[in-house]
Amino acid sequence: MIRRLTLLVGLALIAAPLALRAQENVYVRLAQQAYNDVDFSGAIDNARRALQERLSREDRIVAVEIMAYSYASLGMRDQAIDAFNQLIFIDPDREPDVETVSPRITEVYRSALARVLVVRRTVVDSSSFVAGQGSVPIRYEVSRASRAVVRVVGQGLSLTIDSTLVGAGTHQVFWLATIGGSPVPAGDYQVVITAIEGSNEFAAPVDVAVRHSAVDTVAHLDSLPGYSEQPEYVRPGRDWKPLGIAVLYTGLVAGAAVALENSALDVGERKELAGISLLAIATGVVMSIKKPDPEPVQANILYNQLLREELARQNRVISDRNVELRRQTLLTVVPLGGVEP
Amino acid sequence: MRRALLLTAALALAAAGSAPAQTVRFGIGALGMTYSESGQGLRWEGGGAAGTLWFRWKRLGLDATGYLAKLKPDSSAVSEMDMLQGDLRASFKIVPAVAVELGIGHRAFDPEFSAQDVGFWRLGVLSELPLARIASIWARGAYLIAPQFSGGGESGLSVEVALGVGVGTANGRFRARADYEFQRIDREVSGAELPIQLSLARIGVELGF
Repeated sequence: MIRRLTLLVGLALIAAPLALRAQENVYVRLAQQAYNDVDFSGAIDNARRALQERLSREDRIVAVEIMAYSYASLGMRDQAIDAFNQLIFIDPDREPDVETVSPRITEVYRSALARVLVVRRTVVDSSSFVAGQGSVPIRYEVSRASRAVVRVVGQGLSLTIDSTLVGAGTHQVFWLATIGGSPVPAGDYQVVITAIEGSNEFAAPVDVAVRHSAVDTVAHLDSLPGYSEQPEYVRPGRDWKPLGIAVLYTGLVAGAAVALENSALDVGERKELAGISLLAIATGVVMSIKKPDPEPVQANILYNQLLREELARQNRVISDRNVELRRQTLLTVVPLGGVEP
Repeated sequence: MRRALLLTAALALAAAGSAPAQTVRFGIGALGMTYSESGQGLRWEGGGAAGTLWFRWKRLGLDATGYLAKLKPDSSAVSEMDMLQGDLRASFKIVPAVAVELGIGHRAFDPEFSAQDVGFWRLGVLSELPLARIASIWARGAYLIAPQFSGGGESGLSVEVALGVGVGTANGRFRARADYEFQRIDREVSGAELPIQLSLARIGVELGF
């Protein structure tokens, strides 16, 4: 009794939980129910019946998978491998989860995988890059050593990106998305990875879309970050120099004129001298009192000149770069049905 | 002398036409003056009009001035007279504030022989300093070389000094100016001293180009 109970618990542990969605076909549902009830023979029978009917792709995958898991759980290795081989051809990317499925099953799956030639886990990453300056990575996995040919087909083009001998495992190639140095036309493409081993051949296609857009240009600079122009004219403090000069010049000329007067002549009241002298001194007073005129600061003028020359130089570099950028094309490659970058 | 004045004025006008902006100024003004001659009692006072041409190019400068004044005597012994004077000064700046000047001048009176017509060369210095960006002051002094008189005679000490101040717009287009000029010529005729002295004040406006 205890032995039978132990065997049942062991089988239950081996039988991995199949997280399957509700199936349309009744036999698929019965097979799933039987598998969940650890009735592997019943699960196999129902799966076989289901496979004799017209099934949706998802139901077919589930039916084959239940059959493979059940055979593996019952220790029927050859039948399990055959079932897993069917599963691999229908959906190469579907495989037991090593964290939730018994190692006994996953080991059988690996054995089955090693017997067939398939290309799986084909991924084209979403990429955006300037044509000629980047590429889009394409990753794939082959189950056996073979020649892998990666081609891109679409928009009237058929481009072979790579053709090389590869071992079993994951590989990566890069597509520049250019032809003769120019970007490929925008539109939908199909990336086809074909693994060839003797007469065996397996191809895995991935649909992608290529879009063109303009490359962003760089904005011109209004100022150099961290540097600001200095005032070129600074108003000096008020001083009495204008009055001093006016008094000096007036005093010199008036003194000279009075000294040079000819005493033999009637010099009169010196109205002309007095009037202009007063005007000169008054001008000196006004120019001293009024707010002084701003004076140029040579150091600041030179500094600003250097700053403007550097700004102009940098803007010339930006302009040249923008001319180059306007000639470029930004390529965006997204797998169809995938998420855009 | 008159021919030389006319020729220099014509050259100045021709140069003004091709000179860069604000190196040429034309001005008009009013003047008041006192003229004394030949001892105590012979003194005239009056006023009139003045016209100026001012030209600067690099270190070179040219000043042409013409005066026309009606003078009244302070004595009934002499009659009224009109004075016509022309001065031309060419300058060369030797340092920023100081220039040497060389020029000619001529003064004539109407009626003829009511006072001494005189013509002379002058050699002197001009010093001009800015009081502000819109104002400047200048002083000049010159020795008058070999004055020639309509009544003949020789000259001893002959000098002139002047003071001027100008205030204008920052762009140099408009300017007001005031000048004072003093001139002394010690004339001698046959050992007799017959000095001449002139004191003149002028206020005017200028238009720059």
